[in-house]
Amino acid sequence: MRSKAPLAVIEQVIMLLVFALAAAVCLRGFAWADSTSRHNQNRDLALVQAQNAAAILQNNGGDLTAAAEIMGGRVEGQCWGIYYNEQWEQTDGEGAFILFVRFRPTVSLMSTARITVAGNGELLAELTVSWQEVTADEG
Amino acid sequence: MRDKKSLSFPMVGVSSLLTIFAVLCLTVFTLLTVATVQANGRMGESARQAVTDYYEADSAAHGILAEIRAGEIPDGVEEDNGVYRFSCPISQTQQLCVEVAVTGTEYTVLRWQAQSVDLWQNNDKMPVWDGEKEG
Repeated sequence: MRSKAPLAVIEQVIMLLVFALAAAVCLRGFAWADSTSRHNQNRDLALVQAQNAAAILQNNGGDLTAAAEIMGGRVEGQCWGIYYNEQWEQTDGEGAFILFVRFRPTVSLMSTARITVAGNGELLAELTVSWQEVTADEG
Repeated sequence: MRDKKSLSFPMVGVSSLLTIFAVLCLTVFTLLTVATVQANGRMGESARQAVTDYYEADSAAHGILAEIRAGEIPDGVEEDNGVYRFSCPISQTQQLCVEVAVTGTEYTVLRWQAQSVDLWQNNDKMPVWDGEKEG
């Protein structure tokens, strides 16, 4: 009788190759899903921070100092910036993400600001927020 | 003399079955993961678009209010005894409805509401109990 051992060994080798190929493809899929999920999470959190900044700005009538006292960050002139680390916690220095608020040229009785959140070289969220001014801007 | 008949379980092919099962499971889980991530991405994109659209309409409404406070009445604004009504489109299914009482440059917001403009279609295909006892 011929031994069936070579046949079994060949079968094992082929199955191993098939499993390795499938595992390689599936692991790439898992890795892509993980990186995409992290990117989506960052984008969602960036939008939340932008909305928070917009609501605080509107409620404070565009007072950046008051807004910074509520939400944190640093105010320089007509700009307001907040740095976040990878876990979206505020940091004093440079971080992975930055929320930046800049005033736009004022139209009489109304002011506008542009809120952007960027990180990893990509613009994650952008909002334009407006509010009423008590008196007209005399320029 | 007894003839020993040994029943041997055929081992050839079992590993193939196990490998095929494992590959199937891996493939299914991978596809489910990818589909879930893509669905979450689409939902996040819809939320981002909705928020952006709302704030654009909000800015447009503030612009109209500023013009009203400055003494100009833009097109599409209705006025009734110092109360001004107008709406700004947010999306194809929503609009921002605004009612403000303006006196000079002073104003009071009476309404600043996102409202659906989509026609509500009654679906009565499934019978729903209306609370009345039968018979």
